[in-house]
Amino acid sequence: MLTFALRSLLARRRRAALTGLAVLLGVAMVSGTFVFTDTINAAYHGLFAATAKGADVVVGSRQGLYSANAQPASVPASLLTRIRALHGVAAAQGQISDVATIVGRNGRIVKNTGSPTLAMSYLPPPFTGLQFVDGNPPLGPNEVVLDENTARREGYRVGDRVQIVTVQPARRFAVAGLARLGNASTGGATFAVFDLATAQSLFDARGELNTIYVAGTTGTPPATLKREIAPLLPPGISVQTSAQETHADLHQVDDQLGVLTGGLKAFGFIAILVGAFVIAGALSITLAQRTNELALLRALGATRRQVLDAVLVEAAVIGTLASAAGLLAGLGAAYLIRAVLGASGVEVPSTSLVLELRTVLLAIAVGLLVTIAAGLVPAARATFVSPIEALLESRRPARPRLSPVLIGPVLFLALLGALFAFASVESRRDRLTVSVIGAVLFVLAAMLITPFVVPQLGRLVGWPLERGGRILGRLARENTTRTPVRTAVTASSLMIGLALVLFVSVYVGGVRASTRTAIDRTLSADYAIVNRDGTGSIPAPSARAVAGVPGVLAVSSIKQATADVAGAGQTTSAGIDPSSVGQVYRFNWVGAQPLALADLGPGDVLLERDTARAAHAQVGQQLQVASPAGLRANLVVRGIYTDRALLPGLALPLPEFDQLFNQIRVQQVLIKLAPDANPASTLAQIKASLNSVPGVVVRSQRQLRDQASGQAGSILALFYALLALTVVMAGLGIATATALSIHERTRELGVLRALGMTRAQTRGLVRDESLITAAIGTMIGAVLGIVIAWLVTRALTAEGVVFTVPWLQLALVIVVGLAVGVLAAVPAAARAARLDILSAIAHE
Amino acid sequence: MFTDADGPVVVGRDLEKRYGQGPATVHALRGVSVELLPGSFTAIMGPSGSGKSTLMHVLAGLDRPTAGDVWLGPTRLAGLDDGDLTRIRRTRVGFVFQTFNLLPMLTLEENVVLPLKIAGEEIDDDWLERLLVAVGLQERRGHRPAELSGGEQQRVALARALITRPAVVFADEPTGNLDSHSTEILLHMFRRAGQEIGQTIVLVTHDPLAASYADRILFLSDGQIMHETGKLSAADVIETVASVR
Repeated sequence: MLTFALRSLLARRRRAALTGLAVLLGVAMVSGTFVFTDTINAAYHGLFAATAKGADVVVGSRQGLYSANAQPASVPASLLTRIRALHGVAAAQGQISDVATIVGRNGRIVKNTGSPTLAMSYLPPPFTGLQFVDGNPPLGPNEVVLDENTARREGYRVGDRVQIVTVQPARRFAVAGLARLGNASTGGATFAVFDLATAQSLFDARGELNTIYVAGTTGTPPATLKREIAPLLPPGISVQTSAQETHADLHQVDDQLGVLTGGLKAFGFIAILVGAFVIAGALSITLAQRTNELALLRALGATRRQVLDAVLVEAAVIGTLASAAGLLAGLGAAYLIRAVLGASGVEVPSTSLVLELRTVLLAIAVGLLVTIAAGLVPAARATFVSPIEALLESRRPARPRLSPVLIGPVLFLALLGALFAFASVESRRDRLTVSVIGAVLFVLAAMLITPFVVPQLGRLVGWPLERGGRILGRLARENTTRTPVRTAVTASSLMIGLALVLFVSVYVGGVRASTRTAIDRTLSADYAIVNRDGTGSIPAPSARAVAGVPGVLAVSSIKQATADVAGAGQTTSAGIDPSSVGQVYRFNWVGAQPLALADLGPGDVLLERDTARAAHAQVGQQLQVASPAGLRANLVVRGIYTDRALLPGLALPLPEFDQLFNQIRVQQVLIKLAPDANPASTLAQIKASLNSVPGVVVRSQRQLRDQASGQAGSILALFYALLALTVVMAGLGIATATALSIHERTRELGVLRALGMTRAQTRGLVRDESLITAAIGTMIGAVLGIVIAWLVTRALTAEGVVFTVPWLQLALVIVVGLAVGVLAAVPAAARAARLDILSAIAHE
Repeated sequence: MFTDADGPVVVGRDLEKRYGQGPATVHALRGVSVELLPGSFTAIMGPSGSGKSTLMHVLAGLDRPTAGDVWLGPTRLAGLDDGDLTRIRRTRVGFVFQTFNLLPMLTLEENVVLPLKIAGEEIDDDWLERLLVAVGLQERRGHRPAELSGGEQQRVALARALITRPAVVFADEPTGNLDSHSTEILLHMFRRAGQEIGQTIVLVTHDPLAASYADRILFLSDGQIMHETGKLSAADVIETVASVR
């Protein structure tokens, strides 16, 4: 039987090759996605491990690599001497870390994709995690080391001079070396490294340190070291083992990049789904042919067991070979995604590609299991009835039967979906989760019922092709709809891809609109002073500088930090000036205004509604807030407001904020002009007053709004890139399915050619078939995408996320979907047109 | 319909067909010449591998001879490209295959008019009616092929071959898959087509009964015409086949 299985494989070489191609595509989709995701994660891990390299414990907190909020704690440099004197300490070094701005050769600020440029002091061995690509560590007040990526992008080499803006005005430094952190390219994060004394003077921190790295003597466990150091520390300064520190950093990244990692995880799931559909679609086409062959085997006396063996051997051979090739193709795909993203300016940190065992197992499982499962269907058909019945059965096209077995789950899923979607759940996060679950259930229900509506949809989308009695359009439509299950499965991968594109664009559009509305509603300031890079903090004197400008009515500074709020976890916290904030910002109170802002005093806090919900806090109750350094305060909730754009999380009066967070710089300064001020001349004067303050820009209310609502740009580009990959994969799936379908109907094509069908008409027939399949997928995908978007935005209505029908994207999705259909048909159409009529007619 | 009503409809001259090269060369046709006159009903007989199917394919423009010439009416087939050959098949030639080769998703009537639809030509409703009545299926025009018996399907295929009023109908073992009753009904219809509308017919078969309906029988063996007769009874056909071999 083994010989038979292998021989039949060889005999059906083309069929086997096309099926294998489908498996390869599916597996490549799954493995590529996971390799890409794992690579990003590994890069972050390597990054943090590198920054704490050689240290057993870390004193103080580091500037969060990807967070603009976290400000470094400050410890006296004398602490370093005292730690070095401790028994059990082998080495200790201090570091300054802050943010800076690098100026490019063209005089422009080096722009990162959303993350700040790190400024660090050089850590001598054994602590340095820097790997020098070229040159030496920085030495003296005029040298700097740049990260390899930025240097390459901006064309800086060792020995060149580069202008860098710190807390001090811009200064030129000589590039002493180029380095990278660990094995990772830091992607979006650029860095500049100075020697310690230079860094201390550049950041106004003489005699201070931000972090102390400590290595213990051999045999001293980090925990013991930590216990020894703790009593030496001033209040508010923490000591952690480096393992804890790395973990905390990763946690923070997860928080910051939650959308990214969550999205990538979701995409892994989508990849599995699409991959499985591409494979199942191709295999379902050869179902009748294989049922026939197996029934014939049965008729010739093969036992059920032997038939099963033959099927399993065939599936295992195709599945294993194609999955292995698919894994390789997946690695290639991951490499390609990264290259494409890099070329389009979206930098994500990366190391060499990471191939986890999990990826291999998952990819092969998808490839092998789907192939085997699809192989068992004809085996079951061929063996559970008498051989002759099976032979006859295999000649009849399979129609889906709306069996009770299927109706049950479909109704159940749809009902569950509706239930989830319409359930009113309290917290925003839960509501979002619930509606996403509802949306997924809707997708599954839609996929299950698609085969039953294929004939109707086929007639609808095929109408333009057969109007005026065009018989070939009619044939194309009948060919796609006479095998509804196959067509539905083939169309499904395209449907998923396009539905997601639509969903993402509606969702993002809605969130952007809501951010704009929120800013319009709350921001009454005319201008804001912000960091040039858009995210970093700015020197506090900015406020003082503009306060004296004539025409300026009010100036209010806002600081920002991340706090740990009891019950709500990591929460963005703003420090506001109660005396002036009312003139630049309108609180959108839940209920009546609780108190005059000016009355906000020490021990008071205002909560954004989501924080209040998560912490189960109400006005008048106490709430514990902790700083990253471990300082705690019990605050009384004085009011609850809604705002997800400018002041998410919570707001504290500045004096309270300063006690909790050791932070000198401010996040932004909001400016309100007097009603009679001349906007243009006042703006010019404001700008002039800021000449002495480095690294800041003035933005109008409108610019601020556009910037805030456009922030998700690069992550969005990443998702669109991945979704584009899905659509490409779906297209390749349709191409494979069309090729198989043509192969199966060789004789029919031969007869039509003999009856006078020209080559051009043959190509048209094949194209129309593929087009109809694609159009069905596009149509369901479009409807589904909009329904899901509606469900999810509906869950966020309270946040001002509005649902709008995205006409432009809808048109685009339809055009892309149809183009996929036309393109996918090209290889099969060319082959069909070249068919030799005589051998086609003789084809079995 | 024909430029020259009395001239031959199909002419094949010195036809040779070789497959392969060197010592492995297979000679399917070794110099065959035939002329088919208007309204003639010709049967081509011969054992498997005698070249009878190849001869039909070459005469119908489905295959190109290695040497020799084919004229369909006034048109010389040599040198025509695929597009021209396709147009000739559309308008001048009708086919009936051994396996009926109807399209399963089309109704009986749609299958009959398929060649006209493919060519984008007008359907002559009277002609269609006449054909449907002639093959005895006018009542079942809305049925699908799966609902018809094999004999009925082959009658549909005959109507489909006649719908374009072709110069010649080629039938390749049309009775090969039929029982004897269906075979007789179908052959009667072929003969009626010849008698009533003067249809030129070429029937490739190794069924002596089928050949006995023809006015002229060509016996092929090893790629050559070994013998040619006029009308014979089935019994005589069997005898001739034996003697030719």
